[in-house]
Amino acid sequence: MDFEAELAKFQPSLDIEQAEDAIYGNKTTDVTDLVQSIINNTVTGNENVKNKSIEWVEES
Amino acid sequence: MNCPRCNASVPFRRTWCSNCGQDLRDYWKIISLSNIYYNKALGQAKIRDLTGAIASLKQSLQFNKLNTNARNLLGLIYFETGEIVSALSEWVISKHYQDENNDADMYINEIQSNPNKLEMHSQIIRKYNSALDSAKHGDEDMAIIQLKKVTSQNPKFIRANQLLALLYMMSDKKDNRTKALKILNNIIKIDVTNTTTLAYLQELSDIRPKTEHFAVKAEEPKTSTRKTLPRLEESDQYKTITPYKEEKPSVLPFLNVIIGIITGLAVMYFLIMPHMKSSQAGNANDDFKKYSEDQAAADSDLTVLKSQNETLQAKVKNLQNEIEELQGGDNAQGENLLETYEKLLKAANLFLNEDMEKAARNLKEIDSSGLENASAKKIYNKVAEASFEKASESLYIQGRDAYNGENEYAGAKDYDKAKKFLQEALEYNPDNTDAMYFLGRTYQQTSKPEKAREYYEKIINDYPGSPRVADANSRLRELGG
Repeated sequence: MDFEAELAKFQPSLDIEQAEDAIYGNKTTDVTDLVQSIINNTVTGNENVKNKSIEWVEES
Repeated sequence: MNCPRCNASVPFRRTWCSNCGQDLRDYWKIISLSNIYYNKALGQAKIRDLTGAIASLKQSLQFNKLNTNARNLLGLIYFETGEIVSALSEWVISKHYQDENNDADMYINEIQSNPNKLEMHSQIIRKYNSALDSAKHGDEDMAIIQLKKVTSQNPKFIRANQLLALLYMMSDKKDNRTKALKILNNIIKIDVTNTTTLAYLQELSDIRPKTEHFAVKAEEPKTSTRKTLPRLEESDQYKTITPYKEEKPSVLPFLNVIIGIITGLAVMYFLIMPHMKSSQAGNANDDFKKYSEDQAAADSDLTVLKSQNETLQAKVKNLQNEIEELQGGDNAQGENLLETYEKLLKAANLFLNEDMEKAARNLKEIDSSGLENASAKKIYNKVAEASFEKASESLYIQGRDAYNGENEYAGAKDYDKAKKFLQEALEYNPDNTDAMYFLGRTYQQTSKPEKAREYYEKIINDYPGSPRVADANSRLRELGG
């Protein structure tokens, strides 16, 4: 066992005063956010396509 | 829950949004996945697979960050493993997403309501960080001391225990590996699947009697002591199997024992011994007092007995004297006494017969001091008074006749007899100046003028009224004096 490597795995524990940073630094994006984003993007994309087609239609 | 598209509230299990018509079936699947991971984590947590539970809960939250139960459970597991800040963070986030009806409120309040407890947790974290810093800078001893304090304050702090175990394992001391094993065995009960703990246990349990290994190792040059873990020797294998032994022998318990012994001795010397001595002295005094009283009583009895003895001795002596008196004393004394009384009676008889000369001679033979009887003494004195003078006169006449050659000695002067009679006459009556004069004459005639002078001068000097003074002076002149 490599002592130095094992020792390097240990990281300092966050102090209680640093809890706020930990909370703000928490990764809050989940799959539901992705789904929501996809849905939103999908809706936006459809509208863009519709608009583009309209425009395209208008152009044509 | 709300529709991810229009954010309108959607009843549970509704597959489409009544507001915007969004198909929610996939969305529900995602939510369901989050719950599946949460359930999995709950099962893992119940069997204390905390590492697995944390992984599952993180998965669950990745699918649905609003899964409050999963987040709260994650906080609890962090709290169980000593990760206070992580636990608080999860509960605060949980509270952020669900402000009401959230168990995180209770957890947060439980920690924050007790400032002392919060401060203690803060100190534990600071000590752990300090110990980690010390360990990374090569000061393992200091790190071990700090980690001991940390683990004693919070025995469930997994990371601190693991670091302490690692430091023990890296130490050259044989007993330290046993200590590491004990620590790891303790924390594996908290988190049974912690990979770090299992790896360390594997390191400690991977010890087998490999003679060839030791042989090879013995030939290898010794490299850095920090880079490789020291292997247990064959005898140490049993230490990992046998129950845990007490930690390294400390001087403190031994010192405490010595202090205890010294204190005990001091108490005995200053409190118990004086009491015992006092008791012994008291007993000795009582014994001595009793002995003295007995001795005094014995002395008193002895005095009484001596007094009685003396009284009895005196009585015996008196009785003996009485007996002797009754028996007439001893034979010699009795004979003398008898002889004295016989002489006295004889003298008295001669006195009554007017034979004064013989009476006087008999009296003269008597020792007047031997006469204890008053009547006898009286008789003696009366006979002596009457007979001695007459005996002296009679003896003087005989002496004068012997000197002059008259009467009985007619024609034959006998100076020797005259001297004898005259001296005897003086014995019975020293004042008989006639006897003195003729004794002087006798000495003068027998050519002893000095003796004659002596008697003449005595008459002249001592008896100046005597009719013999003139004769004596005349004879002195003859002698040339």
